[in-house]
Amino acid sequence: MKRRILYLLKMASKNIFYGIMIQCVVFTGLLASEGSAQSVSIDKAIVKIDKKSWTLSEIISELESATEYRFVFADEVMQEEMLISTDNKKQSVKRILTDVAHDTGLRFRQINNNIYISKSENQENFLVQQYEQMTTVTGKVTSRDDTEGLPGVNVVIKGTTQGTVTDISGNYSIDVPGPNAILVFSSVGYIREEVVVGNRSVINFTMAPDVTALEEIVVIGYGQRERKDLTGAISQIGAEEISKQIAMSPEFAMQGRMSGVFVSNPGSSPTARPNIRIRGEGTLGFNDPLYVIDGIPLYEGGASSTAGRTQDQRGPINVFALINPNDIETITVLKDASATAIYGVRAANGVVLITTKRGKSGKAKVDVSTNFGIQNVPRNYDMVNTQDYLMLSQEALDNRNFTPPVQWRNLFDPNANEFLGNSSTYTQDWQQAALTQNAKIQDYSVNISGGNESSTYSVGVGYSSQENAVHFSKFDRYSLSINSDHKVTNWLRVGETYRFIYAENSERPSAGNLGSNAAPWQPLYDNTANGLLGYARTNAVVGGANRPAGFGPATQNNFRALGDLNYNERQLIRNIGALYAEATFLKNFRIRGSYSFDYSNNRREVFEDIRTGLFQVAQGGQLLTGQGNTYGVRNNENINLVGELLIGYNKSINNHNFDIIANVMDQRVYWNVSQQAIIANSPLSTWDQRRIEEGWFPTDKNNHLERSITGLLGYMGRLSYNYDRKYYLDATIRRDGSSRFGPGYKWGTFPSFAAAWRVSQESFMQGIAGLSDFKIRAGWGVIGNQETAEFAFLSQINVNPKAAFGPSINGNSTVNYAAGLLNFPTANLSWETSTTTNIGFDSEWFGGKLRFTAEYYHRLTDGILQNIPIPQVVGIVPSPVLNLAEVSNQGFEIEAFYNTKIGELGLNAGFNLTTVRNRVESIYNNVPQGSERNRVEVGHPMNFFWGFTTAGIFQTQEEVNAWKAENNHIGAQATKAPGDVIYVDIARPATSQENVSGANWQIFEPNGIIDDFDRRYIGKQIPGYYGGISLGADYKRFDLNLFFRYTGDVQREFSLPYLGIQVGGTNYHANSLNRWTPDNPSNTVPRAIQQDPSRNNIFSDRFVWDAGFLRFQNFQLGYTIAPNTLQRMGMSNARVFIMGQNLFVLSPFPDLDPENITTPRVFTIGANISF
Amino acid sequence: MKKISIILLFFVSLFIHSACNEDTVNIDPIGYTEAGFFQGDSDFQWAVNGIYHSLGGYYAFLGDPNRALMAISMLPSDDLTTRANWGEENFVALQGGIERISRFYHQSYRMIQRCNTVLQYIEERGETAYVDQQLKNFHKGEALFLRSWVNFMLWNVFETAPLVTERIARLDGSEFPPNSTGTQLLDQAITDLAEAANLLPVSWPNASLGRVTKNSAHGLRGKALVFRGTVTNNLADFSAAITDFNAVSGRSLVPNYAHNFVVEHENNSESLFEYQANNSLGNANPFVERDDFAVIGEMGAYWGAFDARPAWANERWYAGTQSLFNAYNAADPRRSAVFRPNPVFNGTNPNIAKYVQGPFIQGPQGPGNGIFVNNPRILRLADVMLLHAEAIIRTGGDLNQALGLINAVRTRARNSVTPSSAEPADRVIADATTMLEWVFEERRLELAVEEGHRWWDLCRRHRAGEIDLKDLNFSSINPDLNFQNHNIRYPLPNNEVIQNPNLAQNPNY
Repeated sequence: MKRRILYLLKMASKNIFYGIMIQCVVFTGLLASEGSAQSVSIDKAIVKIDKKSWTLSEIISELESATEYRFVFADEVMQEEMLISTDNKKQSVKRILTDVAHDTGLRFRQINNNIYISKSENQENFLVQQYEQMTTVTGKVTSRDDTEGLPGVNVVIKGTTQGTVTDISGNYSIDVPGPNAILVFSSVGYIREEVVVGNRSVINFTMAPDVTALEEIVVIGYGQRERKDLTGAISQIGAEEISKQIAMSPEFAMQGRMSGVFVSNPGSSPTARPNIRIRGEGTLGFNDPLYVIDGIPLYEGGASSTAGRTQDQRGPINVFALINPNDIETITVLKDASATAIYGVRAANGVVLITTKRGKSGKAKVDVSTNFGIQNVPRNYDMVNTQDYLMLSQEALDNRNFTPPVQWRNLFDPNANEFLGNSSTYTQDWQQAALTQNAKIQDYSVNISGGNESSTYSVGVGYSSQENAVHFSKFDRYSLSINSDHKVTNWLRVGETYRFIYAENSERPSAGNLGSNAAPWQPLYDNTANGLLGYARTNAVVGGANRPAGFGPATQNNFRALGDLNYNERQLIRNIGALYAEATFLKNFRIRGSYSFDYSNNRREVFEDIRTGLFQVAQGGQLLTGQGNTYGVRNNENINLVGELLIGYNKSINNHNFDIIANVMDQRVYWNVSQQAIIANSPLSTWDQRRIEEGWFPTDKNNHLERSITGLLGYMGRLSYNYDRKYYLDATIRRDGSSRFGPGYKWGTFPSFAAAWRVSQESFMQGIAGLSDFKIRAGWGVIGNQETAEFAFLSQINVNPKAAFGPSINGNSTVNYAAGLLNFPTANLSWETSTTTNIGFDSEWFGGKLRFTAEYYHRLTDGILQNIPIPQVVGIVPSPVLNLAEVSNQGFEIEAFYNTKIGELGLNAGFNLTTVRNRVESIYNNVPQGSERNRVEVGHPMNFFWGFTTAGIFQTQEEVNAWKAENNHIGAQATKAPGDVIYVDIARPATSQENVSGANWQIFEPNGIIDDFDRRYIGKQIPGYYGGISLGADYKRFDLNLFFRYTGDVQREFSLPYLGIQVGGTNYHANSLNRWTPDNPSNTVPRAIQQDPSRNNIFSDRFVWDAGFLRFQNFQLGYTIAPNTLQRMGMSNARVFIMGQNLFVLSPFPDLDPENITTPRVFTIGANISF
Repeated sequence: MKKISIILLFFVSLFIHSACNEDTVNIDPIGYTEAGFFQGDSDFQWAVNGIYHSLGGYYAFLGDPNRALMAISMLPSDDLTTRANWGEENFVALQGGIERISRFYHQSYRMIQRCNTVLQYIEERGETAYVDQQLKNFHKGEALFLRSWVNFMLWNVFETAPLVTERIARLDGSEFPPNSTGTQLLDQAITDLAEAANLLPVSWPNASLGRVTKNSAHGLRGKALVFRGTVTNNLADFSAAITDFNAVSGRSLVPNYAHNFVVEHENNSESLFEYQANNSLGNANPFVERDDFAVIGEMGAYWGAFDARPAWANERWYAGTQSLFNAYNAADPRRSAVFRPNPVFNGTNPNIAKYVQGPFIQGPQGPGNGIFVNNPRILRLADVMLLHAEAIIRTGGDLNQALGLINAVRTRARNSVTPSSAEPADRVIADATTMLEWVFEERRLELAVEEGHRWWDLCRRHRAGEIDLKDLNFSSINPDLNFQNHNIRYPLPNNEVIQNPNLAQNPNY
């Protein structure tokens, strides 16, 4: 029956389709047309009926066929067949209905052409109600985001149930009872607002997006939900926030904007990978979250390996730079096990869900976004000049009574011809050359989307380019994305998504420490015949002999010359796509099958010119011999295929709502690395001529191919239940099989549970002033991490080693295959499991003006796949991996958001805070592992700083003598003198009786010996807290956003200005002039002495500093052009903006930047235009 | 409807693909696994070659002069010195945290593990897996020899390092081996070498030149016996050593002393055992730890420490001591074979020439880093002859025979130049004590800067009480040098002592 459509719609929109899109698109047409028809009042509508006795249904049918009216009622109204008698004459509908009302006790209300029937609860009150004197109000509803009409907006007369819905163009028409009527405009994702009709007949209305909305749609794994219905710990940001950060890679949009999500700052390289850490660091191994783009779980070969070679094969390019941030609709982070458990074994470090933009029905919409910015690294180091360099070097040599080696002795000798002490200082040249001034960052993208009721589409193209602010790399990205959704029949929807990315990256050597490393007297440029291409060579003739390090021990490779001569180019291609079909032919059921693929190829080409030898210390300033201009190409290919089948069922019985899904997933991953190169006797003349010919001698060429295949099979089920959207319960179970583990250990089962209680829905909470919503939620779950060495359960044999035998020709005999048995099988290797407990509440106050969320989390990772430090006497090469260690992370997350409107001034402020307490609970035999900068010990955070304790600097010989009487610094005792660092004896090695468990390897009591056992915890690298603060305002057409990011309770190492200098690797920091001398009793910089015999520079608390900071991350000032101006220009929306990033940072950390010294300052202008 | 049936087909195919296909998780690795290996002669051959391959770890560069293991055996003596502030040079900084010591230890046990694995599989499957049973014997002999050589070095360096005769394939801490005691490591080597000498061939076909032979086993066994005899003062060891030395056959000193250190004369008639350094063109990567998966690693020998390479090595290179330089008669041709003509180091100390000649390894930055294809001569006849002389003298044997052996070495040295040099002149017969000193003097001159001979000779004599190293002039350019008695044994790696509950650190470290 058609008349039940409103009821059905309500149910449908509530329980089946959560999406705003569907509500808007699929049903809007129907509703809107119904609402806009002209109506006749029931007392003026006259019908003739020719029967006296009717059943209720008969008379309703009669009236519907004779008039324009449609009756709307619930099922139970018609349950009993009631007999009705009426006069068989011409009369008004009202008259007839009044009779019916008398006979049945039903109540009728006319609203436009709808007549609503309900049961009257009060006998006295039965009547036929009719709105008199309706006036028609029409108008168009638009969104503040653009001037497009907003479809699907509910327009309701306040205090009644009368209302309508805007059509596809955002138009509506409604009959209102009079000038005092109030229209209420509401739509999911927008702020509900009320407007008094007054004497207007046209009311155009602009809706403001509702940033706090409880109805905000949040993506969860395998589905989506309104925010108020969430039970797990989930953070989400949308396209608007993503657009506030200009970066090549989408992860940066999360930086500081989500509680629980830490995104490191990898500096200015466009392709550098940030570390993403969700709720601390859970494992000694792979800590990156799982990324899922439009349902496709991504996998990158080699990402989880710590082997240097594998990382080299993987290359330095962040594969997420191959996703255009403009394409993204939302980034959602699933943080606790109850949210992530449906991703099973890949989810122990959290899950990042990326949803890209899809089309909406309506006329084609064209969005153009463009921005252009420049980046500069704001600071560099203050280094000493040539004269000071000489003076300090000489002092260091003198203090050790050390004659410089002949290789560079003359450089320091004022009497020698080669003396460099009178040269000018070239540091400025190097520092300037190390940077790219005004490095460009730009982005242009066009997106076309639209569709009709049965099909929608979105097509986008983009070009982005970023230069590194540090010399030198450049990344260019061309992207294309296509997606569409189609309703094939009433019960079948199919769709696809596909994106293609092509990118190029050029990389050249950079200068160490922003160009500050070179000896100040080493020139970079040389336009004389001694140079080449205008660059200075690195060798020199010193004392009659060619010296490779022509400017002494701090000679640096001429990185600019190497950059001009050599090539290191990458071409990257990525194809990601998925297609799905979803059938709903059975009531309450849906079946969805999907198949997705991700193919990426990272191709590296390297060309080395033989002349590079002239600019490299290691090559002695000579042309490379024997090899020619070598060239190699490496293809790193990832193929990821995922098939899934999902069955969903949902049902509502009274207020009990169930949603059940079951899913089967099959993922196969292929990783292939191949390489070809000409490595000797290369006849290549230039880069442009690069090729490898078949006929060249095989012995001059090199090629290999490595393959790896892994597979994952997963079965998952989720039950979601709520009662009246008040009490919620979610239960998930996933069973995963992985090819990485041995027979009997392949399968793991991972359960999770979550519950929520919307306390504010309870009657006892109704009276609390200002409280709009309050929900308590708790979750518990177990998830796995499979990232370990592949096939560790087998003992693999490496046949790459060789052994040479036979007669020697020029020193080489014949090479034979050899087998290296590296390991022994660890058959019982299995999953790491991560158990998460999460308790928190979400609240909204003052009608959504204030939102506040707080939660506590605890994550215990158990059975960590630890590369255990077994005794070397076992004799295997890679240490075996066992499920042993335990690490816990716990902390609080707080998110608050406030927005308000004062007249035309809108204000908003957001704040988030995450605390992390990371602690290693147990490791193999309790034996500490790792070295100074990545120490792992029970009871401490992972990878803490482990170093010596110092107590200033010896000022007098008496102090030295007193110390030496008590202490013996092994290997450094003899040379202790005033100006040396004072180390503190704190511990001794345990005896074997004391060290029964392995845990007591170090006993904290002084033993008079300074040795390795006196090292202790001196700082940690995992921040104790971090977060962001955003401030926004809009006034008329202007909008301004400020964003700050902070991190605290974290330490970093910085030693450059505090090193006891010696003539060695690099130039000296200007602070070295404050070193200890008898005349300058410094307590921070020890004396200059060659070879550091007293070990002043060993890793100690002198070099570890607090590295907390508050960074003014960015501002954005935008202006939206007035609609009438736009219409003249044929646009529907246009906004221009200027933006600045990294304007200042406050930090006690003494280095140039507390995160990364290459962090650029960026200024950007941009525009977003829609047609 | 056609459209719909196509879509249904899509569903069905998806279901078939994704549901319950266990093949997805039952994937075999690409490459070899132990379970399927050791099935035939060639598998065993590869595994034995793998032991030889691991020899290279002792000579590898690994991208850093700090990592070169030659410091362990060569630096401590009065032959070589460095300005690098290393414990191996000055002893005061000698402690178990030194990364080279740890890697030497690991390298040694890695090689032992390979030997033990081959021995284990020969034991388990040898009878059936081999077609050529003689080859099985050869392989067993090779594994025993190579294990013995490592045990010999371990004894000299640490003295108390664990004795491992079976592959350790469990990680239960209680099963980790304890310190060896006394001369256990030498004892095992002596036992194994006797068996190896029975198993090994007298010689190999040309294509297998460089593999160890019966001569290698006899030579090394005699050497181990002499070392043991020195510290235990057991004359029977010297007698047994003489038997072994006498069993070395078909070997002769090469006419020119310098031929022992150039590529043109690798595996010559004097050679008993050498590491076959090779450049494996296009494959070797001197920056990668050997055996990391799918990498050949290094196949060359790093002599850059004698050659001030790489250029950035700063002070981390080795020069000869004044003491060694002065020990040669100026006319001894060996001096110019050991030292370069112009003393350049530190203005006074002479640079080493031995081994630093001939072609470099090719490959990434090989030449720049001083990586050569020149074979280190681990055991050569001159060494054996002098040990033979020592054994004769110590057992009160025929001093003339001992003198003959010493003079043979000296004669060859004299005749290494044209025209022949007058020095070193033949020794004339003297008393046993004098002649014993001559042996050691000759060993120093003949075997200078090779394989740690000098340091280990000094140590065994110190252990035996014949000399006191505290009185030795180390002729070091390191001002901090201070030798103490416990430095005779290197510290075991600190981490090893922590990780192996059954292992105790050597005293006083």
